[in-house]
Amino acid sequence: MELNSAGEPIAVKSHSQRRILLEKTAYRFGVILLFLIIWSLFVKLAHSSYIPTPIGVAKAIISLTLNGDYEGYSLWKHAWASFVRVLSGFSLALVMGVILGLFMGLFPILYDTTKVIIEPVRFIPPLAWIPVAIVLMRGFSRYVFIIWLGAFFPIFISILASIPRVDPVLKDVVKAYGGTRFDIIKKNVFPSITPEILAGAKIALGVSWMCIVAAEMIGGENVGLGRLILKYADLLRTNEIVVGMLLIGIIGYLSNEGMLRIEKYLFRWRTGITL
Amino acid sequence: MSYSKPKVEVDVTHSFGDLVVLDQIKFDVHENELLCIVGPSGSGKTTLANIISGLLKPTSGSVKLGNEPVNPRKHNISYVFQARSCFPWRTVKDNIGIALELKGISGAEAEKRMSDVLQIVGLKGFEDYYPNQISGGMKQRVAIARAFCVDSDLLILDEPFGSLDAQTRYLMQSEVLKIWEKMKRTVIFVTNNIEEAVFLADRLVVFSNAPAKIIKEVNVEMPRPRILTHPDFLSIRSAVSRLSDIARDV
Repeated sequence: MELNSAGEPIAVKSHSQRRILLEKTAYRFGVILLFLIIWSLFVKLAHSSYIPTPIGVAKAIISLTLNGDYEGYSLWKHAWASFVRVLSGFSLALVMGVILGLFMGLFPILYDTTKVIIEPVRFIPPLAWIPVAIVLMRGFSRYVFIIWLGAFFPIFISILASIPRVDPVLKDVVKAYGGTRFDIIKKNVFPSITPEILAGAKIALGVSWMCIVAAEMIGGENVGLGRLILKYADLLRTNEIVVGMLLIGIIGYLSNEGMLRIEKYLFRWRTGITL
Repeated sequence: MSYSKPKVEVDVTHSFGDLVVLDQIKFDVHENELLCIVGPSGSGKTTLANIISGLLKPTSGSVKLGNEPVNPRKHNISYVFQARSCFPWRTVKDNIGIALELKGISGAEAEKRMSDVLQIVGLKGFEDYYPNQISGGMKQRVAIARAFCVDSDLLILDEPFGSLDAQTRYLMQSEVLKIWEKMKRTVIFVTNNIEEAVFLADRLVVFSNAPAKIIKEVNVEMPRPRILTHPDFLSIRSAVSRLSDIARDV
């Protein structure tokens, strides 16, 4: 039986809830429609063949999906290539962020002594690293490096900041019942900070997608959504550029929704607040 | 579930910096005895509970369980904390089960113990609830169930009912007595409530204000269940109150 925060059973989706969902969906479609109308009006007023149009973008989507770009890479190939790169850089950042965040959080002396290096590095934007990446790396590692740079710090910092907030009483419970230090980490620290890990990961995922264009500028391969944008930027074909942008936005949005689902499931023990 | 438990010998002095909190506190606890430590708040009772459980090292002296210095890894200690000690991400059942996990008890044996103890504390039917879905009194019962589901050489309860209303408190006291009578344990019960101490204890250790000294040990020789309005109860209660008052005036 599912329960809400007050301990009352939640009924399976009722009639009125379904109606609310339907209404919401209708409103959302309305917003999209309104956006398209405003966009079209803007195009009408602008009188420029460089301005992307809704119909032009729709045509570009169809043509890029069916025929691929001028080198024959289909839209799916571009999207998939970027997805794999983002996921690799992001995953590496997640693993390293969690491990280093935990270590430095649990042994503050480590962070305290290394922060003179860590903190300045944190403020160097991934874009500034591009020349270094070009000189020192090649192939796939360039993408991973740039995305990792963007994704690592949000995760690392949120974990680092959350460890001092772990409830010391729960640590004492584990200790009093004979737990080891490892038990304290496994049964108290780690579960306590998973909400922060996920919060950091959500921000990091967004940053990862923001870094993909920069990463693909130097990647050298002709496939990827960032690459698609750059290719058509050279040709001043704005419709295709918008397709690339749109797809980055949509994939980012969907992965964030996915994370929210995971969050909702993992943290069903949390009391949500509504005002 | 009864097995021979080591004698507990406490002899400690503790200070935080220059501030002496516990001044030569010395007493023993016998097997299966229910000993209450009663003293005003701020008299270092929680510090003492932490020292007895092995969580805190005393400045000098030691706590011995069966002639060995106390060590939560070696001895089986159960500790009900004054502060709320439910893990919010664990269900009621898993909150109790953490003690069994840490003692390496699993499978059918663990299931049986959890089911027994859930029955005793009256949480049957709430196994799958999360702490934020149950009341404060129930959370405290979870902590008590956790303490009773493992074999323990020593069970420490540190003002477990401090945050409960009078009625629930009385109910919980009776429940703890019932559980204790059913599953014998050596118990140290810390409280600032004299009535509660007299109601529960085989023996009382009365503490003074900080720095805490032992004023007196009082044996409570009354059959259980004790009636709060019985003349014998009242006379012991007022005697203990007087002891505490004297301590305050000194």
